[in-house]
Amino acid sequence: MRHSSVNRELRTEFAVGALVGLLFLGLAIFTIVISGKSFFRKNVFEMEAVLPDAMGLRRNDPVIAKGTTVGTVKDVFFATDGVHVSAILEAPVVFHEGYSVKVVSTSILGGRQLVLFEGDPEKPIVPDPKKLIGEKPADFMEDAGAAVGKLREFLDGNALDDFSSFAANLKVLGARLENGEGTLGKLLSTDDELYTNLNATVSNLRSITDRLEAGEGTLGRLLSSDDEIYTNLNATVANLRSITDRLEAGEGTLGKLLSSDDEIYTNLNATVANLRSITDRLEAGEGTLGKLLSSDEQMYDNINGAVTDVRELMDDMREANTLSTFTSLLFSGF
Amino acid sequence: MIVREPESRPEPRNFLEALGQKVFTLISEIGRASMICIEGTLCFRHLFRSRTRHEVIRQLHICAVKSLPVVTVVAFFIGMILALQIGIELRRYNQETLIGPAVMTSMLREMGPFMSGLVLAASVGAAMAAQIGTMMVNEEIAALEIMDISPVRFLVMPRLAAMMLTVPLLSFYTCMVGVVGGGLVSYTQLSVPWAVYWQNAMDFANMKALYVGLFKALLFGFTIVTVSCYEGFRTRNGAVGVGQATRQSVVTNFLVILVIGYFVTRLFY
Repeated sequence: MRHSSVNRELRTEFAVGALVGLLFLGLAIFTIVISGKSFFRKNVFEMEAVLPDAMGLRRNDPVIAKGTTVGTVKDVFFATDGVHVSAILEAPVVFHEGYSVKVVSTSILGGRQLVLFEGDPEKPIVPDPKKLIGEKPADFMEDAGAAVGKLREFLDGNALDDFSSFAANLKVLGARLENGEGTLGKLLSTDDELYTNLNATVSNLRSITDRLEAGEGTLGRLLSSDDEIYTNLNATVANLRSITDRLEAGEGTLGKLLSSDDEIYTNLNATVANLRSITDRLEAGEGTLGKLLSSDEQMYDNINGAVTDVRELMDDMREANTLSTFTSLLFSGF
Repeated sequence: MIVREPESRPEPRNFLEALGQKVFTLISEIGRASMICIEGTLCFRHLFRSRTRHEVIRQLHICAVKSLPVVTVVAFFIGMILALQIGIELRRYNQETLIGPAVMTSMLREMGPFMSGLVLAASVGAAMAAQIGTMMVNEEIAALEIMDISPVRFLVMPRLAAMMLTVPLLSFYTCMVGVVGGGLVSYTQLSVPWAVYWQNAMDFANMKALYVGLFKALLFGFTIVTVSCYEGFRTRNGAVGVGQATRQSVVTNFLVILVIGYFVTRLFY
């Protein structure tokens, strides 16, 4: 009985001891982990930078280089020349001239991290990584405040008046649309006349396109797959080309007229000159024809008198021998 | 003296007198409970005596080992519920990866101490009140006093020591189990990889949250033992009184835990 009681007591003590021990161990490990310390860490590198503003950077905040976490912030303390930030790096970050060290927000909800840019590898190495100069941090809230300030400045100007004017115009426009004014208003109005017309137009267009599709009418035939017209047109164009080629070559009368050979022009010019000379002489009443055309009526009177004498002579002869005259007249024509 | 003659007070003649009596009684009870707590703490000098040590270990077994399954289940599901509720809201902003920090922070600061405190108050605290209440109605406490054995040293101090050790440790255990439960929900329901969840959770865990939570749990341990033992010591009227004392201890413990939790949080944040 006594032995059983002792055993139970021992089991109880063991269970309690094990649980309490495990929980204490867990608590210790958790404390070490969240404190950012590691007893197994090897090859740590230290750096220190002086920043104009730490922006709430705290111990154990991550240090980022090339997008990866390379260490944690060891300490942040205020000094006269700025805020000194020391960090423990797990990777050897080599700083070159043109490097940058700055604090950035991890998200809009908060959190900070120290971001390192190593600089151009072609440039000389910074000799002492414990005397780095940091940059002013990029603050989302500050940027947002500046943006809001600019927006306010913008609104304080004429923008608000413009917007009010725009709103008033929009209101007027809306009222006109509501009243069915203008094309857009009519389109939006309940009056379906425009719709009816449009519908009819579309119907007509459809009918036309159907006819075109069926190859009806000249346009339809032109659009149809039948290439008779095309063939004819092609042949016509070929003929025209042949004609123009011949004209170009100076073949035929028209070709010769169009050719650069000016023989015809010279002949024609001389002919026109001769004609002019003749007409000048006719105008001057020279020669028989000129005299005939002249206003001198003596010739006309002589001819008129001669014709009158011939007619009288003919009348006398007809009266003398009608039949012979008739016969002679009949056969003299042959 | 723990065992006292029943107090006889005149019947109140009006509302104000009744109210005054209640306020006076309340203040007296708080004072008496505080005295028990202080006396029990002063008795810690006897903690490592053989008989006391065995009693402390027995109480530790009751408080820690026997409560572990209940605490585990409660913590696991609390973590899952937290992760699910927070995750559903964060998913609207595509920020599911922040579930880990949210669960870790809330568990460390509030839910760990609260849940462990409430579970221990409901299980161990109620058992303490019932046990001491039964001893009261059986006049075992009176017998101890007659034998010049301090009931506080004999009954309260081991429980106080055990609870002061247990509640902070179970609070930490609750946090870890809750975070694991939250990670399970994040992975299965919200498609957050376990590594991302855990990495973010650890990034946002900080010493202040941990130690304020542990301190809160320590205060809860004091509260649970003090209230439970006090309710046990003032038990009257036999079995009915034991039942009333048990119920009252649970109710009072819950209220005091909530009030103390708020003020501690207000103090540190």
